[in-house]
Amino acid sequence: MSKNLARGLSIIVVGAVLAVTVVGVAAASGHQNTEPNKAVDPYFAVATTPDAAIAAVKAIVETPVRSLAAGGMAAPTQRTTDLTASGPYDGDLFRYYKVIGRDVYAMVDVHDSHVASLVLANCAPTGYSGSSISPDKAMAIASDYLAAHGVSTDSLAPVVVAKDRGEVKTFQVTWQKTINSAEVPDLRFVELDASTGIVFVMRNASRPYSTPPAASVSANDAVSRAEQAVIGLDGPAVTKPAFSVSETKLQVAFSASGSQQLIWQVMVRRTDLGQRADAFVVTVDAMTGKTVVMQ
Amino acid sequence: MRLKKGSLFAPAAVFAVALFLGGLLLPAHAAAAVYSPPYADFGCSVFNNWDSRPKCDYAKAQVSSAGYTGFSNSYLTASTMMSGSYAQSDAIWGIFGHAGPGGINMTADGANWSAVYSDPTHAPGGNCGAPNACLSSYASSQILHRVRFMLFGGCETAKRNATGHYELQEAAKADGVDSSIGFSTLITTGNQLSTWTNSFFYWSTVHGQNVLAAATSAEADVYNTPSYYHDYGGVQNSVVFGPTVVLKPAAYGN
Repeated sequence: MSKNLARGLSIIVVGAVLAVTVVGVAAASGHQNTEPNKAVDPYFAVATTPDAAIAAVKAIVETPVRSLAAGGMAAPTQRTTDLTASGPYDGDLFRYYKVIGRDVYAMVDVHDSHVASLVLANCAPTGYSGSSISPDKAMAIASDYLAAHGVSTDSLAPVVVAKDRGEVKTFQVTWQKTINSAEVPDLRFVELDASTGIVFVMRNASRPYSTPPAASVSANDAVSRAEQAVIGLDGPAVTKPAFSVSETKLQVAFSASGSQQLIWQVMVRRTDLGQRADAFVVTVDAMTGKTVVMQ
Repeated sequence: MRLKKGSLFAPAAVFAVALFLGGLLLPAHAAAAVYSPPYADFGCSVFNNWDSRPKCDYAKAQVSSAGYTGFSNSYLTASTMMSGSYAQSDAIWGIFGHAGPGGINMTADGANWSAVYSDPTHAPGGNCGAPNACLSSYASSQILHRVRFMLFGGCETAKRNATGHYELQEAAKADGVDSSIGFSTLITTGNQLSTWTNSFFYWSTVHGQNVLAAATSAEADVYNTPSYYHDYGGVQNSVVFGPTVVLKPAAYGN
């Protein structure tokens, strides 16, 4: 059988399969586009326009930033004449417009037009020179970047992490507010090239929230509940399964209707199954203990 | 010859025929070919809760809309995925499966396993023969030089070993592969990797961002996806080789 004939057969097989199977592929054919949810979170009310969203993005990317990078290297400029807005789409904390151009990918909160997420594609690191700016310098550059664009970090403490991305190295600077040990929707994030200090990612995830109560479910209890929730999902329910927990965090979240929640996020994996074990993120309600395995 | 299947349905009969024909007619290293449009192969596994086929379907859909001929493959062995009809004829290649440093697994039933390893030190008994495969086997031939991008979609596929090396990606680079992504930590079985995959291949092959920018754009999409509660599920820990490689327009690598 020739390869072309085999390819033809495979196309027929695929076509036949798809003809009787209307699952998933249609959803896969486009970029992630979560349509607005019918159960409306009041914060998701649209109070701005796509044009305003574009203007908000332009205001950031067209504002010169004082160069604190190594050797005074200037960041590339972004083309903004090709920016288009689409949406709105539902996000985790907010509803947003996507603003996209050749050099830019941004998400703009439809409630108040703040730029919640920004990727400057043409500023992404191209390599690693072998020498890096210091963490303090990285923090100064990130702070300067936010200040230059009117993004406040008041009352937030930064954490600087050196990120190994393989053939490039970066710094990630995060300002995450916590109350009663819970992460609340008040975060700033900047990622920059460790060689040049050029910023290429910014996040400003914020929305109104109430002061969260102290959790009724302890971290240890949350982990125990998460471990119990995943037993049997990816292997036999042995008497004494072993687990590793790679992440436990308490945070404020919101339901689709906008009611505030307090949850534990636990990332857990069976260690008695070797490489053939799944890692699960389990959400544990910090007040009731109810678990949901994210699948 | 090459018999490729849609992955959403794999009735037992199709599976059996594919296995039969595959075993009969697929030599481990069938002749490589260059296709127009260029080929992109994604290999998926099904084992208990880990069904990676949606990830393959997302990847296939995105690269196909960008001008590649995409295939979502299930029920293949690792050696087949590396064979002349697959990796050696591909511009883009990826596996989604259970993994660890130096290897990524494939299975269709949880009973029969195979893996793509970086080199014989990870292969059982040091044997890189079928159903397994080792990337190091192809370094001298450079037969994979046309591969523009490889994705190792499993836990710790980019975790540095004791001597500081990213084994799978360095082996791929030695084979002439232009760019690759692995993950340095655990990544979840769940939807985050599906969202990341769909988004990454949109930004890289449809929109035209380079590999690193597409990875960071995909992270932004995962971070803001409803019900993930700002949890990346590990996909924020991608490790990139060939950060400036661009996958648009559809083409083979150098």
